[in-house]
Amino acid sequence: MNEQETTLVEMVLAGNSDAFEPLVRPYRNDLIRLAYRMTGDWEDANEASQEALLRAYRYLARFDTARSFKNWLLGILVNEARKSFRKNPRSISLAETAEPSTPADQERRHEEGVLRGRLRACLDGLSRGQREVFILRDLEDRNIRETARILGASELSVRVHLSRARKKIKDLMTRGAAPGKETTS
Amino acid sequence: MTCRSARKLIPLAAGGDLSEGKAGKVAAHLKACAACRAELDAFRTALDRARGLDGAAGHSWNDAAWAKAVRRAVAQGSEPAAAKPRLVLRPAVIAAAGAVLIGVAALLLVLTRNSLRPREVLEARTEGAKTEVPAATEHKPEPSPGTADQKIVKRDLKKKTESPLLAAGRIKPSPAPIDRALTGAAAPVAPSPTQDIVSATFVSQETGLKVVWFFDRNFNWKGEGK
Repeated sequence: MNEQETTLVEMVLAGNSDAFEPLVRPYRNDLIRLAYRMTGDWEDANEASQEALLRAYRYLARFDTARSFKNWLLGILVNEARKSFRKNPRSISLAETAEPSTPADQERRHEEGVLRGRLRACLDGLSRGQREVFILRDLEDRNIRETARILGASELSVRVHLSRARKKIKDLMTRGAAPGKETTS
Repeated sequence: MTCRSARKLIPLAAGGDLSEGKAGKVAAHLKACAACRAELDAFRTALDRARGLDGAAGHSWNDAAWAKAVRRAVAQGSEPAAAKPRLVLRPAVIAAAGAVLIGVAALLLVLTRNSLRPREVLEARTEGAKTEVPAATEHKPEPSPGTADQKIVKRDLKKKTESPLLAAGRIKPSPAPIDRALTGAAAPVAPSPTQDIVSATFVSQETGLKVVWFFDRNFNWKGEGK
């Protein structure tokens, strides 16, 4: 945690609520993207992110300034996303992009659509721990230590979940790419 | 390193998540094993594809929604936390816990009373047992029981009975008659249709001397034995 964050945390705790926005602003997009990856739905992601902000503000006094504020904030978000997923379990998607496809890309889009469907099914097949670790490490590109901190797990546990998740993802992606084995889902 | 052990590490090696020592061993194996190299490439390709399908990377929180979320956090975060639904269950939980505690307390009370009660052994005596009551022995105790050098550690109630439970010693009599006997009280024992003889055993802790006193159903002293 840098000095600026420490100062902002102290200001918020002293009663200056205006300091909260600059404190969390650097993680604005991290919050919404991680929430979306974990819930698979923009509406749920928005709700989980807002709830994470609320809890971060409410429980800021419990934050240990020796630790990373970012990991603390994302840890809160992970908990909120878990709640949202429990309340409204749905298929996790890795997002259909909003951009319309061009005719020239139709074939590639079709293949990606097939792969995306398989990946979605595969993520549904992962355990919660495997899914969270895979999202944080391979999609969010956080290192093992950060992933462990955010999830409140040991690094060994993260490695075990990550290894199993990658095997499943690889098997599915390989089968999806194999000619004659594709099926739309 | 064998292919089998290398394959276990390749998923982590594909993302560069192995420790230096293990990464070095895997790398050395991959140099000599084309099949494991292909496996590693397959993992890397799959991970790249998965990352490429991640549509969340291009999305962000728009300014209006962000400002609204922060305002809501500050406004609601300043309020005290709302009572959680589980608090509604608190009286029920407390009642259940109280019932359990009362039950445990009652059980402990019963166990404690049993452990504090003098050890009494009820033995059945047949009519013939009366004839076995010995006469005075050479080891006569002090006239009043419970003197300084004698401590009663065991008292027996011996009853004449036909009940198999009494014979087995599973039914314990009330200590009241024995207490009266030990203190020399003259109050008669409540007559029992099945009890003719009562005995009290005294054992000295210092000498090991054991003396048994016998009483009739009215608690009149009938003799003593060893």
